[in-house]
Amino acid sequence: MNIGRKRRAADPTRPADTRCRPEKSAAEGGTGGSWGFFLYRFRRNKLAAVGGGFLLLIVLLGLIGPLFTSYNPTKPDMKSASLAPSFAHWMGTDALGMDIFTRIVYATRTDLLIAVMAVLGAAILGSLYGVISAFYGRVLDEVMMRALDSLQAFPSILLGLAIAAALGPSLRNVIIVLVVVNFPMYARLVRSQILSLKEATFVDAARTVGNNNARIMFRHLLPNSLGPVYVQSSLNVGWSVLMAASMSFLGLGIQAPEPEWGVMISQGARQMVQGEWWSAFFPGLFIFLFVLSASLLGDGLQDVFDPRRR
Amino acid sequence: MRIGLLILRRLLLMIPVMVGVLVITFVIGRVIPADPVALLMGQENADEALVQQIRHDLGLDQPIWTQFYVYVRNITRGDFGMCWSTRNPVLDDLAVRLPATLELVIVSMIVCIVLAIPLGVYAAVKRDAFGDHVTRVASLVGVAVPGFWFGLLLIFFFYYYLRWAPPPMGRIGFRTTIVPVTGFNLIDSLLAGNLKAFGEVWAYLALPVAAVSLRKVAQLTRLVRSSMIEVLASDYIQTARAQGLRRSTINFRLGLKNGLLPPITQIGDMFGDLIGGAVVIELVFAWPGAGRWAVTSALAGDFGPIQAFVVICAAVRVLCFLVADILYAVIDPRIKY
Repeated sequence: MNIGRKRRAADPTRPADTRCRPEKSAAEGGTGGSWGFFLYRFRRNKLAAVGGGFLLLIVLLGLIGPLFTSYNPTKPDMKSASLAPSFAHWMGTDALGMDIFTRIVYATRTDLLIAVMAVLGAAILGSLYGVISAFYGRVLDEVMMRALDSLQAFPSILLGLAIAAALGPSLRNVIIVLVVVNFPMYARLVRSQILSLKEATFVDAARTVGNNNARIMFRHLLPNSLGPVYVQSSLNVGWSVLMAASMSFLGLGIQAPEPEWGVMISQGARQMVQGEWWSAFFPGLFIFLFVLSASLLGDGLQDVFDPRRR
Repeated sequence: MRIGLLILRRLLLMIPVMVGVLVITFVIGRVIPADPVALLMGQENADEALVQQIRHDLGLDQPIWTQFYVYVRNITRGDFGMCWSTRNPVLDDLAVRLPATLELVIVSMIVCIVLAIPLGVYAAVKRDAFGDHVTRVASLVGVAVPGFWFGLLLIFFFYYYLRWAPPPMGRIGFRTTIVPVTGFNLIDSLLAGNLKAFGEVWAYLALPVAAVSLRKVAQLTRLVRSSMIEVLASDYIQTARAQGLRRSTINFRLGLKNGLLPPITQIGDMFGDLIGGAVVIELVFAWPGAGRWAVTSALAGDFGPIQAFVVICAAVRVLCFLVADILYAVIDPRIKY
C-alpha cells in the first residue's frame, strides 16, 4: 500500500498508468497534470461521485438548513409533543415537542464539526507520530510501535468509552477520544510509507545540499507519504460519526438537549416501543446516509490511488 | 514443533503489550480524573479529615509509581477493586454479568462466520452477476448502518408492529426461570432439559444478535468476496479448471483454503468489534450484560467496572490475535516466523 509514492513517482514502475493517461484526460477537459488525471479517474467512478454528492448535500443542509425552519432546536413545547410527521413538522416532533427536522439540521453541524476535527486531529497527530518513529528508527521506533500495539489491543469503542467516562461528557472530549482512538492507524500508515521512502535518492540529495533532519522529515518525506492518509481520512470520517453517535447514545458524549444524531436516537428510543418511530428513525437515517456516502467516497478515492485493488 | 515455537514467541510478545494495556488503563483511571476522591464524594461539603482518610485508604497519597505497582499487583491477583454501588469486588460483579455479554457475542460471531463466508464465496463465484450485485450493495449498506439504530428498527418492526418478538427487555421472560450453572442461558436451559426455555432464550437472542452482527457480516462478506476473486483468478485455479475438475472442488477445496487467509485476520479482530458493538446494543435491549453495567456504573461516577471490563476485553482480544496467527500458520504452511 505505498500509494502516495506511486502517485508522484509512479510512471517508471507503472506503465499501465501512463498508457491510459494522456488523451482521455485531455478530452475530458483535464489539465493533463496530476490533478486533472485525478479528477478524470475519479469521475469514472460513479458510486464515489454519488457518495461525494450526498456528502455535499449533507454539508449544505448543515450550512443553510436553518433558513428552512422557524423552530427552536432546543426549546421544549409540550403542546406539540410526539406529533407524527406532517406539513408543519416534516419529520414530526419528539416527546418534548421539539421539531425533529430542526434538530437534525443543527445536529448535522455538530456531527460534521466532530467528524472533521476528529479526523484532522488524528491524521495530523498520527502522521507526526509515524514520521518521527520511522525516521529515527531503532529503539525509539520499537518503543513507539509497542505503545501503539497496546493502544490498539483495546476494542476501539471500549477504549473510547473508558476515556470518555474519565474525561466527562462534552463536545471537546468526544473529539479528544476520537483522536486518541484513531491516530494509531494513521501513524502506522505513514510509518510504513516513510520506511520505504527514507532510503530514496531524493532524501540523500536533500541531505547533501544541507537540509537538516526536521526539514527532510516535514518538507521532503511527509508530503510524499500522504496519499494513503487522504484515503484513510475519508473512510474514517464516517466511522468517527458512528462512534460519536454511539458515545452520545450511551450518554458519554454530547448531552441532551444539545442536538446531535446519537443523542436524538437515544431520546427517541423509548418512543420506539410505543410505535412512535419518527423521533429515532430520522436521525439514524442521517447517520446511515452520511456513513454510506463517506465510505462510497473513500472506496472511490482508494480506487483512484490504488487501481489494482478490487 | 514449529507451531510450538510460534506460540511461545507470540506469548512472549504479548507481555509488553499487556503491560502497555495496564499503563493505559491506569492513566485513564487514575491520572485523567483530577481527583478520584472528589468524584467519589461529590464536590460539595466534603469533610477534610474524611477526604484525607479515604485518600490514604485508597493509597492515593503514595507516589504515582507506587500506585501503579500496587495497581498491577492487584490485577495480577484478580483484584480489580470494589464496585462502589454494590460494595462487591468488581470481579465478582463482572463474573455475574459477563456470561450474558459473551453469549450475545459468541452467538453473533457464529452468525457472522456462517453467513459471511458462503455469501462472500457465492458473490465471488458469481462475479458481476445479479446475485453478486445484490450482495455488494447489501454489504455496503450493512457497513453504514448504526447497530443501535438498527436494533431500534428491529424492535419497532418485530415487537411493536408484527408482535413476533418478545419485549426488548433482558435475556428471558420473567415467568421462566433457568437455574444458573454456567450463566449461559442456552447451555443452562439444555442442562435442565427445559426445551421450552431453550426456545425462549433463542427468541430473546434473535434481535440483539442481528443488531450486533449486521455490520460485521457486511464487512466480512466484502473481504471474503474480494479475497476469493483474487484467488479464483490465480494460475493454479486456472490449471485446475483446464484439467476439468468439478466446480465445487475448485471453489471450495482449492479456492476457499487460500481465499480464507485474509479473512482469518479479520475474524481474529471480530471479537473486539463485536463486544464493542454489544455494549451499545445491550443498552437498547436492556440486556443484563457486562457492557451495560460498565457504562451505567461509569455514568454514575464509578470507574472500577469499566476499567476492569476494558482490561479483560483487551486481554481476550490479544489472545484472539494469537489464535488467528496460529490458525493462519496451520492453514498456510508457507508462513515462517
